[in-house]
Amino acid sequence: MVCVASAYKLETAAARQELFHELYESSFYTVAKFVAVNGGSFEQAKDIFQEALVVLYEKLVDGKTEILSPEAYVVGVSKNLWNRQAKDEAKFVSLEGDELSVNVSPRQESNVNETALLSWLERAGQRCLQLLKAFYYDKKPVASIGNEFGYKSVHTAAVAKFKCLEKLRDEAKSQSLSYEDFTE
Amino acid sequence: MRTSLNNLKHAENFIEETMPKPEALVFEAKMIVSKQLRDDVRWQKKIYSIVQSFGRRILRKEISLVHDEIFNPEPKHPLKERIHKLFN
Repeated sequence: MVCVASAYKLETAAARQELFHELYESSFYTVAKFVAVNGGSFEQAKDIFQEALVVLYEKLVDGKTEILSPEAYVVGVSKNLWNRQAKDEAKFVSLEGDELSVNVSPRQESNVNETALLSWLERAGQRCLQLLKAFYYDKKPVASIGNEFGYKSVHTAAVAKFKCLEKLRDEAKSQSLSYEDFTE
Repeated sequence: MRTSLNNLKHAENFIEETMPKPEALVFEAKMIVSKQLRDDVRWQKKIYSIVQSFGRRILRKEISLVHDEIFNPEPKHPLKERIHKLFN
């Protein structure tokens, strides 16, 4: 299988930014026009377009979906995000109209805890987070992770990944015992 | 790899559903009887989720830099002008 991320050369921040720049030039106007016509603001156009770029990136590195035109994909995702947001806002307005108090859903609550835990882990295990990000989020090939992080072999890089996973899991677990905020 | 790391690898295959079905059934049975294993798997999943949030945070920063390059440059970028006309 062709590694789509390699085809788009997305392994470095500079390469990713080059793709995002191209997509801004080719597709942001279309998205912004769509948002403007539908009564939205510049900030809203910016937010949904950037969210669509995140979705595109994750699809490209995942490699399971064939994306023939990143431009068309980003525009399509942006429009879907806009429509979904408009629906959510309509629901919110009707709730507000009925003067109902909206409780934080369990999913939102879990995100708050995760944010607190992430902030703590960023301070305690930055290198491990970077390594795990390269494996699990950017889905880079092991050989390229080895080069980037200075591991001599693919095996050493794989072992380092599991050592980091163990370290962060155990630190998160022990922190959760100290801080109730981190537990669900 | 030492045993604890092999266990993580095993749990990863289970979480990602890349483990053969019979092996996954045995793993599930082990989780039923071991609270320690259940906890380990739960926290391993949480770390995956945190790594995803971390990755997204970094990516959003990279995208914001591109946005700023276009919308806050000197001299003004032509796309900035065209977009702002839509909202004025």
